[in-house]
Order: sequence, then structure tokens, then C-alpha cells
Amino acid sequence: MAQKIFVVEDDKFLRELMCEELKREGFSVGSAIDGEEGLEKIPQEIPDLVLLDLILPGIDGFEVLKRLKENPYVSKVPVIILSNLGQKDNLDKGMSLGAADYLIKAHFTPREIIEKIKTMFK
Amino acid sequence: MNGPVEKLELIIKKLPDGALILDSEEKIVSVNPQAEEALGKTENDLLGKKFSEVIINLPNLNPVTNSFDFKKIWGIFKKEIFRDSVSGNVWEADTIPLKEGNDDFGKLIMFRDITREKNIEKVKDEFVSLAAHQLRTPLSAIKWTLSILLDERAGKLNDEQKTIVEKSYESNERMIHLIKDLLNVAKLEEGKYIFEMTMENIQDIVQDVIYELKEELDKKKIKFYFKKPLDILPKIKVDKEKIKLVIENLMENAIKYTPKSGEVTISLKSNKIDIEFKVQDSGIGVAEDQKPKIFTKFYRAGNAIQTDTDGSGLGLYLSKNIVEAHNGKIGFDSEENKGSSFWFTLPIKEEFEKVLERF
Repeated sequence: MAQKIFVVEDDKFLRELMCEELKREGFSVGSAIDGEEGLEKIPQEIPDLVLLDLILPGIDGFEVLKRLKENPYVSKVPVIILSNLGQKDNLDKGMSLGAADYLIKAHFTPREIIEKIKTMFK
Repeated sequence: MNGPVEKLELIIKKLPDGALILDSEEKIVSVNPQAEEALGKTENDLLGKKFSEVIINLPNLNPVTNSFDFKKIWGIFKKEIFRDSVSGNVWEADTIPLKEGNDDFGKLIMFRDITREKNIEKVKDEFVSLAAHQLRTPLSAIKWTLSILLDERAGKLNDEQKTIVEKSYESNERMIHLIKDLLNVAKLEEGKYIFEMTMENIQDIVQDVIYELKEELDKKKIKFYFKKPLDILPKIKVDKEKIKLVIENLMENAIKYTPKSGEVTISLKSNKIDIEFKVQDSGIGVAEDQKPKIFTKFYRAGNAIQTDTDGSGLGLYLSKNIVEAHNGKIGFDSEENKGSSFWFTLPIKEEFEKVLERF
């Protein structure tokens, strides 16, 4: 069965692009346009991995990450932070909240991100 | 009020900055009103006392005594910055030795209220971070869509189309790198370029960088030599990520500015005092008149711009700052059209502890 990747990203263009690429690579996909929707859908769909943006309308990515890790049904799902906030404090905060990795969107192509995901699943 | 001494005393009294004069035994001999405010003590509390005594109840002022050694890191005198925990004001203390020839008349400590400057700095840095993020968002979109085109996922491209899209992609990458460099510079200047120190073997870091850049070397058919140290290098305390950045910067420059089939030699050696890393190339070199500016921000030498139009001019500026923050030295020798030799040294002893206090 195909692995499911869930994308939380408020930018429509980037979200749709990422989902397209993931589908092309044979993953099944779920998505949310903000934190609230993510927190609603993720425990229902229980994906194999979450790609999480940090700057979101409403509650931010850090809060979403925190709550996911507090929820016993989904706390084991690896979360990769995908953000354009590059500062080390954000990186440290993300990793300390339990993110599996922190990637700067501008430094990776969708293909490279998918490679990272595949490596993680090996 | 007629003598020159009275006039001088009046000037010192009226100075907008705090002035504290110590004699050659570090006893306080003069205090002006602003100094009283900076220290939160009155003239009576201060006169005749040794500076180190006074600051026992003012532990945040301890760094100021570091400047009594006059190690020339920041220039002729050392600046120390401290915060008043009560008012939240930020002060800068500059210590100036009062020496004439062989006579030591003591020290002058000037206190400046830099609360406003610090606030402006904070606002500026928040702006830079926000701007970087906002700029990166559309650039990510461009990077991602172009990469899909280049992978021919949206249909096959002919050679001409491929070239055009590649040019676009490269330009975009340049912008992304520039933003990364600008962010690093902003962080550095804000003093928040936090250093995480660990004991490292520099040779391992150098090997990593060589491995990363192997492809670049092969592409340009450059003859590469690594003069390894005779003995195993002692481990030293460095910020691994930052030192790696410096090594990458110097090596990338050597490769970038050396023509095809040229030569690049790396040497690594140590004596009891420090470890020296050197990159020698057979490249375009640096013209005499441009040498003084090489480490300055955004500076790119004329022949460098001609060789390679991209490049932010920030690499060496950052490298110099990182090396000096490690209490090391950086420099170069060069001859135009013959080649350059860039080197840096890092001390083996843990003098870095003292520099850490300022971060």
C-alpha cells in the first residue's frame, strides 16, 4: 500500500506543487491549508509522514508540532519542517519539539525533499 | 573658574558620556555624573576605591576588567557591553590606557548609553529576518517550478530550451545564496552569531570539505594536493559549522578563481601554539591596490568580477569574522595572475573562553 504523506502549507501554489510531485512519486497525499485543519485531519488520516510549514495563518507550525507530539495517536508520525525561516533558533526550537528534520524550502527542490522522505522510510 | 585645570574639570563634568579615571593602581580618582548613573553609585561611593572592589556588587560589570589586559581584538581599546538589570538600559564601556611613552598614568573608562542603538539593532534584525523569509517564498516557488521543467516532467525540452531554463535556475540560486549570506552577516553584526564549541580535529573537517568539492575540482581538471600534517593534530575547541564555512569559502575561492588545469594545494600543520590551514592556488591573484579591501563587506576585486559574475562579496568578510572570533588570524599573499595563498590560524590553547564571555 502506498505511503501517505500529509502536507500542511498555506501557500496554495507550493502546496499543490508538492502534492503533485508526491503523487507522481507514488505516494498518497493529504493536505491542509492551516494549522487547525491539519490538527483536525492528521489524527483522522494517520499519515506515514507530515511535511509542516512554520508560518501559517492562525496557529503556527510550532504549535501544530507540539500538539501532534502530545497526541498519542499520532505522536510517532515523523514530522519534517519545511520552512523558509532559516535562523538557528527556529531550527533548534523545531528539533527540540520533536521534528524529524528541518529543511529550508529555498534550499531544496521537491525532488530532493522526496529523496529525503524516501531515505527516512528505508 | 579661570585655570585650564578647572576648565577641563568642567568639561569632564558636563560630558554626555560617563567618564571614570583610574590611576596606575586601578584606584578611582575622578567620576563624572554620567558615570555615576551608569554605575548606579555616587562619587563618594567610588572615589579612592579600586575598580575591582566597586564592581563586586555589580557583577554584570565584570567583563569590563577583561579590557584591562588590552588584548587587541577590537582595536586600540576594548569595548564591553553590559546591561543594567534594573532599568534595562544597555551601556558600553570603553577602556583607554593613559600611557605616554613609558609612563603609565592609569586608565580612562568611558560609559555610553547605547540602549537606543540596541533597540534599533533589534528592529533592524527582525526586519532582515522577515524580509529574508518573504523573499525566500517566491524564490522557492521559482526554484521548484524550474526544477520540474529541467527534470522534463512537464514535457521534453530541446537543447535551447534547456539552456535557457538552466540560466534561469542559476540566477535564482544566486539570489537564494545572496539572501543566505545577507542573513549570516546580519546575524553576525547583531552579535547573535552564536558559537557552539566542541573539541574537533580540524583535519577531519578539511577532509569533509575536500570530499564535497571533489566534483568541482575534477570538472575544472585542477591538480589538487593535500599536504597533511606530520603528526595527528591536537583537537581544539571550535564551532565546527562555522570553521567548516571558512574552509569551504577559502577552497571554493581557490577553485573559482583558478583557470582550468591549474593547481590548488592545501596544507595543514601545527606547532605548540596554533594550527595553520593554507590554500594555495595558481589563479588570478589579487592586484596590489585591491589587497587592503579584500576582507571588507561586499568587496569583490575587479578581476574576480570578470572571472565569475556571481559572488556576494561576503565570503571573506564572514570568514575573517569567524576566525577572529575564535581568537585566530587570517591573511593572504598574492600576486596578480600568478596565484594566491590564503591562510588562517587557530590557537590550540583555550583562550577562546575569554572571547565567549562577550556572546
